[in-house]
Amino acid sequence: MLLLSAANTTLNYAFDFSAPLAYAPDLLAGAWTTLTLSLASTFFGFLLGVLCAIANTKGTRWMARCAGAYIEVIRNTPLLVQVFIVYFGLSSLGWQVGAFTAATVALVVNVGAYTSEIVRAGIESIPKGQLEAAECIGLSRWQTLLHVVLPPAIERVYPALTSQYVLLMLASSICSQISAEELTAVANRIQSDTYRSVETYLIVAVAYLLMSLLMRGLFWLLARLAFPRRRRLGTPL
Amino acid sequence: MSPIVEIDNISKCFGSTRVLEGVSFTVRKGSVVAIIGQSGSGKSTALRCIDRLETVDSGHIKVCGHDVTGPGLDLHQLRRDVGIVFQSYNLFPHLTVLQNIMLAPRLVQKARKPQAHETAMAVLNQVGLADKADHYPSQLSGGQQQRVAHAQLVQQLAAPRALRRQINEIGHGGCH
Amino acid sequence: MGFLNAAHLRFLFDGLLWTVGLSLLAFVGGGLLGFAVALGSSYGPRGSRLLVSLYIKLIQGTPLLVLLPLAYFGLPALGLDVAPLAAAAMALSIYVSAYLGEIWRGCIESVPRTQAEAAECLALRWHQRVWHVILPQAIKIATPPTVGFMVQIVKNTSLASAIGFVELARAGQIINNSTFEPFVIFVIVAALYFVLCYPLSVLSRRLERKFHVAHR
Repeated sequence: MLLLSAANTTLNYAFDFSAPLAYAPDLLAGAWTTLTLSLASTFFGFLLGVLCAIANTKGTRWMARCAGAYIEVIRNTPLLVQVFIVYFGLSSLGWQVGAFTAATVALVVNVGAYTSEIVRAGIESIPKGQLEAAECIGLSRWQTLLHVVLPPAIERVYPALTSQYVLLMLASSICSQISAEELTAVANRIQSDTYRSVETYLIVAVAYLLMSLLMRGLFWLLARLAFPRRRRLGTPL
Repeated sequence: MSPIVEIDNISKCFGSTRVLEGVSFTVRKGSVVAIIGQSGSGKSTALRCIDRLETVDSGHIKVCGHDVTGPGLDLHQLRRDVGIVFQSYNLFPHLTVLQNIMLAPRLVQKARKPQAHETAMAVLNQVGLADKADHYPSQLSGGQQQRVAHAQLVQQLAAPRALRRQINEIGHGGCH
Repeated sequence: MGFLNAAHLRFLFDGLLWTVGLSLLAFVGGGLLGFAVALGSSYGPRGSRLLVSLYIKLIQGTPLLVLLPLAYFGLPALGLDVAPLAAAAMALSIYVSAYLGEIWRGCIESVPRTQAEAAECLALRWHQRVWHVILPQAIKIATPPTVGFMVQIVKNTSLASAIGFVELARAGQIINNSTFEPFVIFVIVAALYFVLCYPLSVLSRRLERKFHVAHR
């Protein structure tokens, strides 16, 4: 408050937070859309990423090449352009998709590539002895993957994965560019109505910080449920 | 007593290094065999060949009715019939001791959970580690981990047509 | 592809040049600021290290699409009248400084402590130690992740389109508004970004491998 009043006297700008705060219901709705968009994309992106990582490490050469190409294309093109391609491209090909659906698809495809690389590192960190032991007690390749390889692999790369998904939540702001009614889109609308741009975006910045904390909290809770060994022993694998 | 393991003139190279040359031996049912040699003399390699973890370049191996070197080998069935305890025990670190022992019965023999639980606790009792059932391998000493690995082997004995073989610094061979 | 004439392609190419230009501005601006951030958080007193850590967390926790309009609307509030390019360059520089500062701090701290101690024993002063012993080694460690991050910078310039700066993504949007073939246009735009970014990614991986081999 002190800073702001100092700013008021030295700048040609009078801060007025009441105008954007009057739109609080819209902001909350936007934040909710951001959260649901992010969590939905996280879930499906995780599944896609794990499948891709399996294709890359255990699949045939052709499957690995396809997965590799997909990952390189996603990682070397901007998310904004990917979102445009999904949104405009799908409708120009005859598929009528809503902004939320298009946004989810684009985010899933994007985060799937990053997830795949992270999970692949986790899979490759499992010692070969574990695979042999699984083989020797008669587990099939899929059983080995599901029970011996993936659980410790995902536990190992869990911090990297959660960071990636928090980044995804921040990147969902890009979907404002295709009029998905998430938080940044709401902010854009409010600032054009009230002309209180700085205040609006400051409020929204704080909102994103709070949502980041919320997401980290959710992932921490998930870890305690999913990784009983980590919860009980407190040591990394 | 009929031989349960027949190794006939096997040879194996790793690149340009000849590890096994003309190795032959048989193991009779009910006997205990120790393979002794200098480090690097090919002991582990020979034993790994028996369970088809490595393939031999020439020679024949027959284990408990399976022709390991021949075509048409049912690898899955071979693995169910031959039990191995590794030098580094290779327990799964993310599972408790009990879950480790229950894994194969549940997934391979499709046993029901309560039944698998019962048998697992029984073998843990046999090796004296019933109180460690809910512990993780990292919480056990090396000797205790070895006993868990042996318990896993005994568990495999509970299935029909099981053959027991232990690979350790001193190799044991035995079967039912 | 009859709807795309030479003028369209020229427009796209101009957008590409502006993308490269903005990326370089962001890299230089963000690099200088990031260097200060890295030094401040490795060698500063406790207070400045906390401040720098707070700065990094704040910037990394804010979407670029919120930083950009903050710069674009906020700078005039401070009395500075700025064109979209300047606002974009400033916002991107701040964004880049937080990430590069963090990367470089990690690299400075991964230079073995024994190096600093050896330099101290040679009676070198603090700034001589940092300049002649620590930094040269830190720079070598830092090169692969920095080159890798340049890919992020190039991709992030696409967001400057939101405040009206005409770089490659915006050029694509503008052309789309007149030709209405979004799929083809944005695939071309994506391909142009790929041509910029992929060599940087490959170079970064190659440097990473070379560094690891040399380090053994």
